[in-house]
This record gives sequence, C-alpha cells and structure tokens, in this order.
Amino acid sequence: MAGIKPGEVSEIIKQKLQGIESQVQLEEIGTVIEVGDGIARIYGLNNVQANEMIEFQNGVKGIVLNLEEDNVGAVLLGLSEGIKEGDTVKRLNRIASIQVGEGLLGRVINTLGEPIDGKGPIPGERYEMPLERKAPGVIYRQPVNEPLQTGIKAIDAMIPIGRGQRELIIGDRQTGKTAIAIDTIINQKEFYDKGKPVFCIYVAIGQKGSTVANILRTLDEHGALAYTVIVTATAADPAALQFYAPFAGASIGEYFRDSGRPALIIYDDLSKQAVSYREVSLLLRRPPGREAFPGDVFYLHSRLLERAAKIINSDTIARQMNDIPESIRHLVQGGGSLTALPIIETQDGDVSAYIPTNVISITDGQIFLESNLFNSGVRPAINVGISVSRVGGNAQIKAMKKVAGTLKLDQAQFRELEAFSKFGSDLDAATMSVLEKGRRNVEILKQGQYAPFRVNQQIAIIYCGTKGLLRDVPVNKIKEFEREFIDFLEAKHASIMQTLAEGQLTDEVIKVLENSAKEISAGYKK
Amino acid sequence: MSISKISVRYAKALFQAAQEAGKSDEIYHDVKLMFETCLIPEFYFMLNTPVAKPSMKNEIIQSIFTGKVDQISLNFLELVTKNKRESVLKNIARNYLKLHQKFHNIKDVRLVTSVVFDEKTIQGIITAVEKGLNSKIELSKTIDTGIIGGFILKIENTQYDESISSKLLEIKRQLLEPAQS
Repeated sequence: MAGIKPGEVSEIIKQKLQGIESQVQLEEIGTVIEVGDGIARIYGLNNVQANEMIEFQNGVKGIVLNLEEDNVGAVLLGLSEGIKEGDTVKRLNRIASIQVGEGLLGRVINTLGEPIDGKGPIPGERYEMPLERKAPGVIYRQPVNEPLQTGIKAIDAMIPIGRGQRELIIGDRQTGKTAIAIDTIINQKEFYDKGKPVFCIYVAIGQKGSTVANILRTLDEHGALAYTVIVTATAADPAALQFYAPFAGASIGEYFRDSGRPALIIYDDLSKQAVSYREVSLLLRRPPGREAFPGDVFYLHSRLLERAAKIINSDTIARQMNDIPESIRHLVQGGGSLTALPIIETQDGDVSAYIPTNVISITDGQIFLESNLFNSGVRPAINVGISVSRVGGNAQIKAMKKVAGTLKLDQAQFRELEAFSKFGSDLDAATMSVLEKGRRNVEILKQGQYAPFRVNQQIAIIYCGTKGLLRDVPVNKIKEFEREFIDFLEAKHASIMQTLAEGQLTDEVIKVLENSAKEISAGYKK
Repeated sequence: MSISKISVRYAKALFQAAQEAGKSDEIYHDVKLMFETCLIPEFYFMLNTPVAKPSMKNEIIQSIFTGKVDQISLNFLELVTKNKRESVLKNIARNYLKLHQKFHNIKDVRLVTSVVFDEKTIQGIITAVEKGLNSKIELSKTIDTGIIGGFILKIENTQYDESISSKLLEIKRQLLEPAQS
C-alpha cells in the first residue's frame, strides 16, 4: 500500500470544511407558550402562513395549522419531549412539502419523504412537491376511458374501474379490503413487464408496523416492489404524520400523473386518518361536530380525492394546468392519470356513519365487502348488489362489456330466486336453470388471494358462465374446470387469447370458446 | 370564546383606561410585574385551579399586589377575577406589553451570550441597535453556556444568530446532507 501522508488527509478534510457555507441571516422567530399532546402554541411568528413548516430549537419540525389573534397553533412532526415553554421557533419559509422522484420506487418512506427501510438515502433527482395542492381544474381533465385492470374477476366484470377514477373499498374488519388493494397492485406487474407501468403508491395510515412489513414482503415476493412506493405512518407515529400521510402519497401520485404516466394510489385507510385529524382538531380547540369530527372533515377527504384525475391528452393544455409546482413544470405532459382506491373500515356493517357516508358520496362508486359472504366462503366477499362503479363502464374493454353485460343482472335475479327457493321444493325448469347458472357464476367469481387473472382469461371463463356452457359441470368442480379450460386455451389457442386481450370478441373466438368448453365439460359429465 | 380573543380584548381595555388616566408608564410597569408574577409556578397554578373560589383568588391577588401597583391595576385584577378570566391573566399581560411597546415605539431586544459582556460592549450594542431601528429598545440579557460562543440577538420576532453552536449544527447538517447524484 502506498503511504498516505496524514498531512494530505487533513488538507482534503480542510478543503471540504471550507466549502461549507455558514451564512448568518435574519430569521423570523416565535416563542413557545404551551406544548403538549403533539401540538404547540407559539407567540410571535407574526408573518407565518397557514401550512408553513416551522422548526423548534431541538430540530423537531412542525406545521402551522391555526392562525389566531395573538398566537399560532402548530402540530409537531416529532416527539414533544425536549420542547419547553420559552423555546425559540424558527420559520422555515416553505410550506409543507415532500421530495419526489423516480428513486422512491421500491422504497418505504414516511410522511416527510424520509426513507425508513434502511436502504440508505433516496437516489436520483428529486423534485419538491407541496403536500397540499389544488386539484386540476375542469378543462385539464377528460372522462375516464381506459380500464384499470384489478385482476379480480368480480371487479373487472361487474364493477369496472377506470384510470383516473376514485373507487371506495368499504367493509368491516377482516373482510379482505387490503387484500383487494394488494392484488390490484400485484396485477399491475403485467403492465410493468410490458414496459407500460402503472405506478402504485400504497399509503398505510395508523396500521401496525408488522402489517406494513408483511405487505412489503408480499409485494416483494410477487415482484411488485419495482413499481411501488409505500408511504407509511404507523400507529406509533404522531397524529399529524398520520393525517398528512395520504397527502404525501397524493403528491407522489401527482408527480407521475403530471408527467403523463398512469398511477394508482391506495389509502389504507381513511377512517383512521379521519380519527387522527379529529384528534389534532380537538387539541387545537376547533369546534367539534357530528361524532366529534371537525366541520371540515368532509373537505379534508374531498380535496384529497379530487386530486385523483385523468389528465387531458393534449400536452399544450396540460402544461397550463393550475398549481403546477415550479420544480416539475418542465416535466409536465398530458394523458397521465391518478386512480384512487380509498379504503374505509365500517363498524358492524354500518355504512350510515359519518365518515363512510361522506366518502361514499365523494367517490365514483364503491366496492362493498361483507363479512357474511366472507365467512360463507365467497372470496373476495363482494356484495355485488350494492357495489357500483359510476364511471368505470365507459372504460371497460369491448369484449368484457359484451360478455359480462348481463352478469350483474343475472346474479341479482339468482339471489332473489335463491331466497324464494328455500321455502319450497317444487320448482319449474326455468327457475332451476337460473339457480343452477347462478350457483356456477358465484363459483366462477370466487378467486384466491395473490392470484390475479389476466383480462383475456377473465373474459373466457365468464363467457362460459353467462352462456350457460357449464351446465354439465358440477358446482364443486367449477374451479377445476376453470383451471383446465384456461390452461387448454393458453396452450392450444394462444392467438385466440391474444385477440381477446385486444378486446375483440369475433365469431372465430366465440367458436373456439364454445367448442373448448364443450370438449372439457364433457369430461365432467356424470 | 377563544382565549386569544379574550386576552386581546382585556389588554386593549386596560390600555385605553391607562391612557385616559394618563398613567400609561405606571400601568406598564404594573403589568410587567403581573407577567413576572405569573411566571412563578405556584401563582400560575393558583390562577388555573378550579378548586379555589374566585373570591379567595381575588383575596390572594389583592394581598400580593396592594401597595405595589396602581389603583387602576388593582381594579383591573378584581374585574378579571370577578369575570373568572384569571386563567388568561398571563396572556392578557403579554398582549398588554406588546400593545404598549408598539404604541410607544419600544422594541423588545433579547441578547443571549455565553459569557457576561462588559458594560461598554453592551452599551455599544444598544446604541447600534437603537440607531439601526430608530426606536427605543428594552434589553434583556441571558447567559446560556449552551451556545458555546458568539451571541444571539433577538429583536421582536427576528433573530440574528451568530452563535458557535448553531454554526456547528449547520456544518453537521451540510455534511450529512444526502449527496444528489
């Protein structure tokens, strides 16, 4: 080893230190007059703006929320220990924001954009995006026209979601809400592999650290982490971090949306976010309203969900979009989208509570999950009767629309007859056939976790169900048939599957589907 | 009603009363005394406790301040306790001091140093600041060895931080900053 002179080393360190600028400047300050429960009241800071970041003497940051006549109320983004009455508070002269960039993909970050997965700093160029930003105006949007494939048969067939839509996932605890969200993320791998990724953001609010770790591992195992960002504020984090987490996630989503790419964001879950917002609001002495939530809890959710949008295709119009942060102005392109899947947990199936009704009215439809269905083995436990998608129908691909068009009605009819059939045993042939078909459709719509179906596979099997091609297959053998049928088509009729994937249901395709179904179902005949 | 509004209102009322009586300076000193008394934990606790009766609180307050403050101030304290607003007394006092300083163009200046500065240096600082701000100043000095060296000059809501500790912190921050690749 060549000798290293200590002098050289000191010289290099000296140079490095000389490069550090220490500019003294006038700073605006205030004094803490009260601190506790995650909030602080500050005297002074006369020119501070709402939502501005401030810094306490010990380095803890805060966000100004209340501007009162003689003091300022702020939430702490760290522990209140170490902050005492009389401490100096500095203005940071920037509103609450997060550093966003491609480097976030595959990472777990907190509300402030700091990595917490132990993989070191976020690489690559980053752009400052404000947490609170006005949603795009009317002229910068266009109607939903592209499907967002969830890979779940029941959803893609009956409650289709379009890119740019807001679809609520609602249900009691333990009904598979998160599972649907995670499956949807995993299903986007198909598009990532094709080079047209849908970037996913999973925002975990007030969850257990272990749950988040499990989700991280699941996504990693299914190769979904490469296009996913996880934003997390666990139950142990301060309330302020929890209620700002969805906003941080939305800012990341907006970065992809405004640069002309599709993105999907999952807020898991907004009921916990509302609870932390209530906590902060009550501590700031804002007047409580229904269920002790503050008056603006509706606005909290509506402004968040309005940021999900399908941006107009024209680049020139998109560049004039309102409130584009300066940092990403040069990147703006049209045609991007941000799809939001907020999750709400109900108590004992009560959808008429305050937060569920609010979010139902804000979103473009809801997927309703029921514990009864879940326990009787129908998984995903979607109650098709009251689940709707208000705009997704326009986004469904043609072939799927044609095949699944009658499925929802069929199932409604089936449920009605099923209830009646429990009273008597003498049923006419027509009723029997509706019942038989309905039972088989229920089986078809069942699906395992982490097992997304591609859209052509979905169309093929649902075609068999709605056209009654499964008459000869016993109900308990439907799953077996499905596997065999799909494998058969993939192996023998790859070109037909390709045509289906493109959304075309030609006569040739129909012929192949019918013949294959007949051929395979013959093997199940008793 | 919001504590913030209450305290500003009471402070304004007292300020006007003092102006009309032509005792602006005396009341200013009285309120300063009240504010400093509020910083005594026992006193502050007594003001805030719901257990003690307002009449008892008034007796305590009167016996503390009688002879030390003007009659207007005493009457004011009685009014505050009568209206059960004694818990905001500290905020009222703070707002009154601000109001008075603003009216008479006095700037509140705080100097934090690590060692005791000699009179000459302090006089120099006072003249420099007074000249720069074109107003009278009220200087309070604090010794804080935590800043290691240098000084921090706080004028109202701005501060000029020339301390060693904050410079070291700045160096630490710049060294730890993740490299932008």
